[in-house]
Amino acid sequence: MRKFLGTLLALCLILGMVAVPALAEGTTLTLALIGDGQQKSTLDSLLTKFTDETGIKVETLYINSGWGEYCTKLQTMIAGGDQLDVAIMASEGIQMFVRMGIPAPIDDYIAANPDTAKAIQDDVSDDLEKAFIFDGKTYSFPFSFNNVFMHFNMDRLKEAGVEVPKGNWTKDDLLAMCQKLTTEKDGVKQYAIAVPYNEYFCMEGWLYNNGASYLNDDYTKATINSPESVEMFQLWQDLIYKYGYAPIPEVNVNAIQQLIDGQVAMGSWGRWPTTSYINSNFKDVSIQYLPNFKKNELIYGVDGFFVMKTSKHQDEAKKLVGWLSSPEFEGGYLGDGNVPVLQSLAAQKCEALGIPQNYQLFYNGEVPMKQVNAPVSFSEVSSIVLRAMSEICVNKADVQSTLDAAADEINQALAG
Amino acid sequence: MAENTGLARPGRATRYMRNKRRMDNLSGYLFLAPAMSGYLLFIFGPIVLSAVLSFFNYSLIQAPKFVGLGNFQRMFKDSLVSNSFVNTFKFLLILVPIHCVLGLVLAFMVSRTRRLQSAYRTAIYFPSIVTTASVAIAWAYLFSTDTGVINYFLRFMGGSNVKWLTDPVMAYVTIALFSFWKFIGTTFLYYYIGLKNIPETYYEAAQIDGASTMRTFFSVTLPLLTPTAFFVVVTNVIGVFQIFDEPFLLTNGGPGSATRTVALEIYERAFLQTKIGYGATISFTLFLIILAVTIFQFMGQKKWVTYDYE
Repeated sequence: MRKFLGTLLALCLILGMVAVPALAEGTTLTLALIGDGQQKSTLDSLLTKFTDETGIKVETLYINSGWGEYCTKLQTMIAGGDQLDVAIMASEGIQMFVRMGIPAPIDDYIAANPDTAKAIQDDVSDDLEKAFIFDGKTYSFPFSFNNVFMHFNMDRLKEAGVEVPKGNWTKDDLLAMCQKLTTEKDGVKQYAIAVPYNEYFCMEGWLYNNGASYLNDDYTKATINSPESVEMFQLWQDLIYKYGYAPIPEVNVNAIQQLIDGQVAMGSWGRWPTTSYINSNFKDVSIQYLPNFKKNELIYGVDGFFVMKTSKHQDEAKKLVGWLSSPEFEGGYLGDGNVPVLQSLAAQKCEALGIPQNYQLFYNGEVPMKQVNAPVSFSEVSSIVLRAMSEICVNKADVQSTLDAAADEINQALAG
Repeated sequence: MAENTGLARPGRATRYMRNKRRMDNLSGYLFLAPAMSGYLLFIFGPIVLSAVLSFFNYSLIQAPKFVGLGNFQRMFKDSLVSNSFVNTFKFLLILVPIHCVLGLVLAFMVSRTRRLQSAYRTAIYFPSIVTTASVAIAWAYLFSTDTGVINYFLRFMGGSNVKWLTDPVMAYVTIALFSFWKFIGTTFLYYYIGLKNIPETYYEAAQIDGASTMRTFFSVTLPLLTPTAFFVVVTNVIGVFQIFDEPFLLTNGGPGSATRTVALEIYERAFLQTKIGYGATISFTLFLIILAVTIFQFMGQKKWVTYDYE
């Protein structure tokens, strides 16, 4: 009897050991991404390679919203006990994400897979990498990024006999160009420029070039009402009301579509409009740095894949994060839209797409970069900033007093 | 023993009746159960939860922290919240009369029309069954200042651009126009059914007495329609207090915060900023205001609503 029990116990132990890898191979992870899901089939087919390599299945979930709302939806899913193992997150939500203790660090994965980690880290700029390190812990590898450039409708420029400006163009150059580009066609006014509206990221790109920002460097105080910032908001208001070079921005009017249709000749975005350009077969488009008001400092926002602390499959999830940050996946998934962080891949992808003209600016790294201001209370701060912009550019409110009020509100939000 | 008392037979009957009543009650409760459980789960439960959450700071991920009346104190000092209540009252003053009066006018006119009545009914009610989001986007394009079709025709006729959605006053006008077009069908339908339910004999009597159309309307139709009008006013007031779709889709609360309503405020605080406790405070306050206004309306109905015309 004792022998029988002993054999049974040994058998159980052996089966248990065999069952552990079997269990891992049967694991299904849930991966959340932001977007409308148009790339779901590409993603799913790429992920089959990961499943073939590791035996780990991955279910994908697209959340169609802005970054603020995306963060909230992830929080709701986690709080509701939904199975969520890996999620993409951008600069806008990383601070909040980490400070709330939602993701798990991946230092153990990096230590266990030094070659994989080194291959990624060696091909990524230090600025982008730093965005994922908090209190000495690494939470993710960078995946893709965006800056802000001025996009030009070349047909409109040709009609007006204007050329794409040089990289060091100034405010005076901008105004002179706007004057030439503001015309009328078939009784409809054709504007020179779309001011950056409802775009927290793009707006701050302009502020950086004027030596301003929404917040100070450690996100403890609002600087949105600094003289440099006021100057920039005043310029946007003037472009609409004083000079008549820009249309009054509206919530439901898509400025990228206005650029494609020639209703405006220029507007400021990252690389994401390339998706709309391709869909509209709009190829006569070029980019340049934003005007050099006081300096040329490129804003950037970067995203990466994070392992959720609540995931029951930490090792498998970290393995997935490593794989998603590999050139194989990045190269297969990113085409138009965001710029791949891997420098070797960025040049290749931008070149393959071929639009806009001057696409080298997306990756050449000649200009210093600074990350978008994204404090823990990002969604509150962004809401305040966008409301102030609406007051100034739509409601024609006094710039200084509106920004003073916005600064007070931001300071309260930062204080928690 | 019981058989010897001579009370066995009536006792059995009483027991039978009692059991039958019990069974009737039970089946009644069973029939009520689905509706009651739905009410408890989806209406009463959230109200209680909202009241409880008002006293906490809660961000979904971290555990709720009791803050007493802190959220209420903050709310009373919050200029954005007070602004959103003011805006909601503005919508109340604009939209409730539009829906309650114009819905009645349309219903009265259609009910008196002899030809194409069903076509008019369909045309008026049709926008109510279309998804608000899709038509709101179409309206936003129509009313766009620089590229909208409406302004194109205004310019074509020699006029100038109207800032339909980018001027704080005109934004209310545009939202009112949209709300009228989109939602008048429901109010119209209530009134139309109410008008059809008025017995014909009253009109015949008025005709015999030589009453004019106007006199018949004010002395016969309107008094007999007061129960419907009361229902329409109460539901419209409650609906406009919670107005969300129209400002969210057409102006997103702008320009600035000119059309930001309480429902938009709750949405932003609770679901975008994940301040669930603070959002619940505003939400519970709105509930109390709606409750008070509705009780006031029910108390006031005795003075103007006529139920005993049958």
